[in-house]
Amino acid sequence: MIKIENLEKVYRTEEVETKALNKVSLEVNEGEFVAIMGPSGCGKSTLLNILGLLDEPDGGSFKFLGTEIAKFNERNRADLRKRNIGFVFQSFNLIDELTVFENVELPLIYLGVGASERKEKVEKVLEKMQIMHRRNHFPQQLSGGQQQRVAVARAVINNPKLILADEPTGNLDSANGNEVMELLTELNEAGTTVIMVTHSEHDARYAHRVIRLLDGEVVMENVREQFTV
Amino acid sequence: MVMLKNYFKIAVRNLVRHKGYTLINLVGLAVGIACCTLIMLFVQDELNFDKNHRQAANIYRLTIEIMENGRIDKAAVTSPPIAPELKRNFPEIKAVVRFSNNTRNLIRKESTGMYADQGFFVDSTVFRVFTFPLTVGNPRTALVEPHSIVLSQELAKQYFGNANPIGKVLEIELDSIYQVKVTGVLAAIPENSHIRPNYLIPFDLLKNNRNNWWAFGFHSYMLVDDHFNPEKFESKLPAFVKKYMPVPAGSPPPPSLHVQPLLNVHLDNDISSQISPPGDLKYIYLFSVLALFIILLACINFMNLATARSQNRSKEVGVRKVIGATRQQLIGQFLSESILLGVVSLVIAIGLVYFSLPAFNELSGKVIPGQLLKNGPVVVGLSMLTVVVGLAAGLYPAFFLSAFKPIQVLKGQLSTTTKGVVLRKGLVVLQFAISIGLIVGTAVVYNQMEYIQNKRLGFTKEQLISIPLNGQFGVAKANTIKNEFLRLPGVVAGTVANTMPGNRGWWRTIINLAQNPGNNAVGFVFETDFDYFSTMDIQLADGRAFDTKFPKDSTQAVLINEAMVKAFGWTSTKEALEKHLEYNDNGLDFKVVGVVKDFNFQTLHAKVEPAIFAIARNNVGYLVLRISPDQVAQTLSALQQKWNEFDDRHPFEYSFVDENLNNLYQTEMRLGKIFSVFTALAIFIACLGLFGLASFTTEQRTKEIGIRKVLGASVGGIVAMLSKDFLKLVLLANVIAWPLAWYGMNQWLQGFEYRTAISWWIFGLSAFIALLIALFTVSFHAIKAAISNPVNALRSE
Repeated sequence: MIKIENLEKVYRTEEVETKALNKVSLEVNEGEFVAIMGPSGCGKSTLLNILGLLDEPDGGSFKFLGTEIAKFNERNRADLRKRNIGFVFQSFNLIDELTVFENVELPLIYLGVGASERKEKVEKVLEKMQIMHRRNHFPQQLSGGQQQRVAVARAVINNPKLILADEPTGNLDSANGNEVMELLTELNEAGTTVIMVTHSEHDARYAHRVIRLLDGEVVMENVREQFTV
Repeated sequence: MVMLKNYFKIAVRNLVRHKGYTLINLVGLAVGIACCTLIMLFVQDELNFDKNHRQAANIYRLTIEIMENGRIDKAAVTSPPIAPELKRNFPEIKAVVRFSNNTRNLIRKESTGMYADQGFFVDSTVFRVFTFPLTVGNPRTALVEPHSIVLSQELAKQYFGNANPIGKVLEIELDSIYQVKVTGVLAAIPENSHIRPNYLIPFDLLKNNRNNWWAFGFHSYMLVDDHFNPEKFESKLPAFVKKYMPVPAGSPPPPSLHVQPLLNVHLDNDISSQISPPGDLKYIYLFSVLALFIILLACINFMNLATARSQNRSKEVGVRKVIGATRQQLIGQFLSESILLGVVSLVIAIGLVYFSLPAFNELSGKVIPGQLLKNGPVVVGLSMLTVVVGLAAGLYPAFFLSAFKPIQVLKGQLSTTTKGVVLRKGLVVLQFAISIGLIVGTAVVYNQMEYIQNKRLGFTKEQLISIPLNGQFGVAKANTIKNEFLRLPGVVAGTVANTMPGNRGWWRTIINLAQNPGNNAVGFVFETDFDYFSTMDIQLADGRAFDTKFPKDSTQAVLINEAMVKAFGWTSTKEALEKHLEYNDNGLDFKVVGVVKDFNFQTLHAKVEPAIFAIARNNVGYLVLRISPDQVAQTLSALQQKWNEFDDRHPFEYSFVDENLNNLYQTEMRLGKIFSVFTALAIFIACLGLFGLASFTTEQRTKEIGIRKVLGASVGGIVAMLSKDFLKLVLLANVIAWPLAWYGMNQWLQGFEYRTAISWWIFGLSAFIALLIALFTVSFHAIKAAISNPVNALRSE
């Protein structure tokens, strides 16, 4: 599904040049659940953003669903993104001015889905996430766990092939965190590819495979069997 | 559509949530749009003058050009025979109509008599050429019968109440008393028609000068066919003038004839002797620029606040982008927000306009009806204005916000880009530069008005009253009354005169050096009596004043002013003495016995013109009295009583000369008032923006303030730090505004022959006002931030 080779990303400020990614190569197959780990500043978020088509690499190749997209422009990337990728963030990133229902509905609007179909889909996913009773609340009226469930609902509303999660449990207590991890696992078992950035060894255990980054380079890859106890 | 609904929803919620921000923008934009609308209505009104006449496009006014004292003078006058003769000669003219100057006559019904203004002697064709609908009466025949009169509705009501006035008889005092039958009542005439008669009487009732080709005191208009070509027509006129107005060799050439489209009449103030005071295209431009400035200020507020609070919106932008919004969609969203804000502002603005229209009419001297707001073009104009304002205000923020990189904003890495900050500062400087420019402008206008009111005119205008005589007395009777008045305790001095300083449109005459008609000057003629100079307090430059000791003074002596001395090219006032002058074609010869110092008998826009003074022999127009400043009311009632002893037919009327003179500057006074009101509003809008901006920057620096306080900074120090940045901008704005304002106002002052200098204190004052207002606005937030507990600030990080 995803194949990157020698991917490079450099951040420049006026004085300093930082290599956030240095010739990173990796492959993720459809249906996989991959965790990316590493200390702060190792480049894992940068990698996730490039994988999510939110950022462009400075060098290397990036094939998404067999298409080379390293040189795609903003519009093409936005189009590819909204059809194939769902995002879950540490800080939820719900829009404060929209209700739960409207937040989840938003991706469908950008996809041009009709009103009745939108309603049906949103209700179904809210049902599944067990926050249907909160559909008319605004994000601030929800607990962190509830907010993250809404965020997950929004990420999966258009049945993306890939879900990218950036420390999805970072702002949650362990009970709510586990709940979110269960949700991601369920989605993965239903066929969605999941790539997750995390600091937490506990969360990483849910993944099939862990990729460890240090200073912009892949230093280790292990499959679940090798680190589960 | 769904997208729009979503934009709309989020826009509304955003506006409701950030009430302060919304309020600042709404108030700013609403006031801006309201100002703009009022000014637009004003300009619209000025540009639509005379469009009420159905055939306006085919109506032309006849004008003349004449060489006077070495320069070309344009005037909107003709002599009575010209227009009818033109019609006989040129088939392209379908009809002509002549108007006298507006007259003021005593109109009586039985025992009650009142003076009525704005009357005109006109040809019966007036209704064929102009669209003056009658509520009753037949326009074809109304003024055909010589002893008829057409009244305005107000006048008809005054004399006849609600009864039908048609066929009723009134008595009008012209050269003698005539019985006239009411043959029509004029429907209300729009305020923006340059001719607005109160009553019309047939031209046939005019006895003097009817056939005088040289009596240039009438206004002629012609209705032409659709193929009329003004240039071609004008080219045929010199031959016409030559044929009908031959002049002997050596004398000055006759005036040349010209035509001017009716629709250009109102805004052409290059032409003198108009039937009503013209507008001024300069002021139209000036007000339009003012409107533009004000709306610009409001738009800048929106831009500045929208970009300043971009951090609050950045998360939303990021999320939308991640979810799949394209940049275009986001731009669309932000633009629909600003347009929505514009629409809400428009609604408020229309309310504001509706309620402020009476006050604005008062201010501008216009009568703009509120219904005008419902007019098609106005509605379209306002809608367009709203969209333009929405786009102008929203475009930059839309591009600015939609350019955010989603990952950066979602990670909170949004650095306030220096580009945005510089632009914001630039816009604040622009706002204050405009405000300061307006302050300077207002100050200069007021300063000049002050100067005009206090300028020594060369005579003493205070405590001087003029009593119009309307031609009912000869000189002898007028002098008798004057002498009776002089016995009254409050009356200090008195004289008679044919005209008063500040009067519009009285005639200038060619004055020849006796036996030398080639040497001439054009000047105003004052016909007065022996007490004129002492009553008016006019200084003598040379020679002597009229003196009863010299009996010949009443028939053979004149005084001239210094301007006349110059017009004749004499090098000293001495040289003028004993010269013999002729004027008025009557073959009489006058000796110059004295020269008076120039005094301003016209507006201070113009230089003092040449003038000649003689003793009146026939009629005089005014009795002029200088009264003592004490007990003015008693003096006036004593005068009235005395007047009635002499004349119980004519009501006693008077006016104060200084007030009459002030009325000459109505346009400028209005300009001053309008300017100061809109300047205040402009400053208000600019301050609103500054207030909002200060609140955001202070918010952004909360952490910095906390750290500084922990490290020991004082409240005063922090207020100073926060205020300093803004004050620097205001100072910069001053530097930019000053030269521009100086240049602009200097141009305006050029329109006055007598003017003040723009002194440095005006700039100092405007800088001081701007700084004070800015400081006041900013310090509110600065003090609030400075006195807050630093722990709160640091904890929130």
